[in-house]
Amino acid sequence: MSIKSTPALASIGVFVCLSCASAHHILGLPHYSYKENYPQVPTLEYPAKSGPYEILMTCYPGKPNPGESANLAIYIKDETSDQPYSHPIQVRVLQTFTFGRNREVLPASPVPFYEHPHEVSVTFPDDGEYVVELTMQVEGKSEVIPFLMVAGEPSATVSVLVTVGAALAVFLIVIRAIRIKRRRRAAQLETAS
Amino acid sequence: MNRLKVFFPYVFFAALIGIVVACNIKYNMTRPPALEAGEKAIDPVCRMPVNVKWNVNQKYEGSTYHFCTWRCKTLFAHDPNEHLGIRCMVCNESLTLDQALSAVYLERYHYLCSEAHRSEFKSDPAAYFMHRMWGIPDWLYYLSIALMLVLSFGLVEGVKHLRWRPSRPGKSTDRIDLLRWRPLLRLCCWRPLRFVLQFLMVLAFILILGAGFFGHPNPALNITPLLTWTLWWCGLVVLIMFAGKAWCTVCPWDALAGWMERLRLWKKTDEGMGLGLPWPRRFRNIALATVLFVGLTWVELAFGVTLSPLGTAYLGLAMLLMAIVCAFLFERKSFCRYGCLVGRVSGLYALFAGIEVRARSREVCGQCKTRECVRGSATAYACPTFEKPFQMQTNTYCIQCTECLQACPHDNMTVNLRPWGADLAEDVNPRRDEAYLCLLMLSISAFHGLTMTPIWRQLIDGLDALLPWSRILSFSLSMGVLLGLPVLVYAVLVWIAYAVTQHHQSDRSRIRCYRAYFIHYAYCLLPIALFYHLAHNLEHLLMEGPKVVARLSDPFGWNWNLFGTVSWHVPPLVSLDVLWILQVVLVGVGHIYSLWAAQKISTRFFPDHEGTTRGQFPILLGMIAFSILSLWLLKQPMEMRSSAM
Repeated sequence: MSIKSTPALASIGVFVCLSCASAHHILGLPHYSYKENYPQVPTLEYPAKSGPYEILMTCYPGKPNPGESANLAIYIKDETSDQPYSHPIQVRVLQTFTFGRNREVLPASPVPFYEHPHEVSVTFPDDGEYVVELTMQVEGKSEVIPFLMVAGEPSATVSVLVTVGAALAVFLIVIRAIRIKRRRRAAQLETAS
Repeated sequence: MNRLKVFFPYVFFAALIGIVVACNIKYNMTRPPALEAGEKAIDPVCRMPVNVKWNVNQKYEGSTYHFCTWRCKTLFAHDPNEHLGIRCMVCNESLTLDQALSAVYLERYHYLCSEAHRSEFKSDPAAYFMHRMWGIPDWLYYLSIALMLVLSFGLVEGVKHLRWRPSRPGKSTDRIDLLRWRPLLRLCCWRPLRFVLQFLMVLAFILILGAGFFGHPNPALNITPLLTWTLWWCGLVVLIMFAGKAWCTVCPWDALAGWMERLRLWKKTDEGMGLGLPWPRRFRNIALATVLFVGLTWVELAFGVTLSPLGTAYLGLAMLLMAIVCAFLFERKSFCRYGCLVGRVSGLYALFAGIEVRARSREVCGQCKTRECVRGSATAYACPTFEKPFQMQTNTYCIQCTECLQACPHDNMTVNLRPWGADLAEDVNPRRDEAYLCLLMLSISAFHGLTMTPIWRQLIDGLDALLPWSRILSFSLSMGVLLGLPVLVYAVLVWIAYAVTQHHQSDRSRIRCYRAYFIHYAYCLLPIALFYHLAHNLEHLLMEGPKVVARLSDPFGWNWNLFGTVSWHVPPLVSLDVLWILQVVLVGVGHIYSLWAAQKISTRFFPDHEGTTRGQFPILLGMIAFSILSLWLLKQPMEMRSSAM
């Protein structure tokens, strides 16, 4: 490595460090290296858009376990002025069930703008699918933006189908085994007689 | 006269189709009539999509507004501003843009008056798109009741004065043997035919499962709920009336289970893959199917499965699994005979069907020693539902599989056209389990109609406010009470009829016991249940069914446009005025058939006209009450299930 390339490498290094620092800061996360599973931080990023606002919701951990507190950070930026949204917002969390039923986990709660971003902690009580509803003012009108979340290991359609298929396969094997046993017994009886 | 009776159902059906065609003959679905500036094809009062050709419209401030009926037009004319502008989706309050809160659903903004209403809206947005369809108007309701009373008492009292009297029970001779036409016979005996039909239904079933499991969860964008609950479930009743158990012939659950168990698509095999166990003797009745049917109604209504693609797909899968498990465990088609809720409900309705599979000549069957229809032949199976086709008298357990047609070496089995309700006139032994299902059909069809009226929502909300437990429990309790109530009313009426006849020595000899009375008369309520069900389903089929044209091009909600019909605008097939007349006619026809069936049943019990009238009178009151209940339900505004679709 020549001495001439050192400043260039140093500036790249500084840039990379700043980018990382900026990334984790922007996403509202603790520094990655504080976590045991660094650098793979399971984070959910959920972008949305409403009027002039660009919204990004992040959750740490990305797929929280039931009973574990999850940190929701909501970044709202006015695209035209590049300014953050500085008004309070409301967050409501619902658990959704198979047949379109809902259960309110967190009633609509105001979230003040504290520095940047809006942050709120939510504890998801059970394995399942949830909707985080963000309410904010967009061009003078109140707007609701839903974000879908998953906590723990809910029974996904594919896993249900695989389980059903496996159970059916086991059932068919058992039936086959019984038929073979039956046939053998009949053959034995035939030879005995 | 006999020919007229046989062809009546088909003339009736042709008239129905003719009315629908006449209502739409000039409507171009691909290019709806051009709307002038300011014209809206949505009724501003009830929010129903309308056909501008119905010509119920009004100009207001330079715009033309179209309406579903004169009722909405009158309401609009009374205060147009009340129905125009922004309104809260929940409470319908008029709002200004400044004060309105918004929420997005189906990529459109909708407005709410308060945070509470917005939360309510967001928790179940589809519910707020239910447009309330007007029920039959008062004048038609009261006129129908008056006609019904005149007909009921006139027929019962006037029968003795007329030269014409209902025929005594026995074998009817008014049949048209369809298989005398040889090409049709050859087609029915061609084994791959059933496979081809079943294969098409299996494809449709796979589409329903695929869209339900993997398609868009929004019922408005997914074909599964519409295809299942609006077209199949509602169309099934219409199909039974004209084609009997045709659904069982093409049933995809039975097809998939049968193919798996036999490893054959259509050829006969003696070596199945299942255990061939006998169905448990204790359950050789339709109690299991009845429980499953009540359970399905509960799941469907309590959890709103009709608006859930995933829930609908799970139900379809559950039916398939039950069919497969039973096919591998039990002999022949035990599930079809004892366990299938669709088969049993349609079996009971098929007593009324205009078609049957029967032996041509009892004498030929009497001389037959081999009984291939019961034991099977080299090329055809024995009757899969354990019937004895050579002496079969009712349609209930026949699945129209044509095995007996193919097995019969004497060419003595055939398919007949017959008058509606022919099985109700047969002097066969009625069964207790079937009688209870008849009564439950009456309760469930009425209950189903009630849950779509605003009264039901008020009732459940009221119960919720009064009782400390959950909404599901309130629903279940109400459902239990409302299903039990008609059965209780019927039991009381039968008891009165029984008690009255016990006072007359002449009547006593032929009345066996209260139980026999209860079981026999339950069958005469079947036409009321069936025709109300038909009237109710007609509303779904004609008003909501056309939405399938657009959905077929994008069944999964993945922004496809397979047939280019996504943007087609297909309004309801008939206007409300026409629908009301059709519904009232159907309820009336059902009532007349009920009277006729009751008369047939009474003539079996009582030796003379006086006895018949005496015994029949309390039942007649019950029939009138149930028919008026049907009309009352049709009079209520109906919240259409797929308005949000």
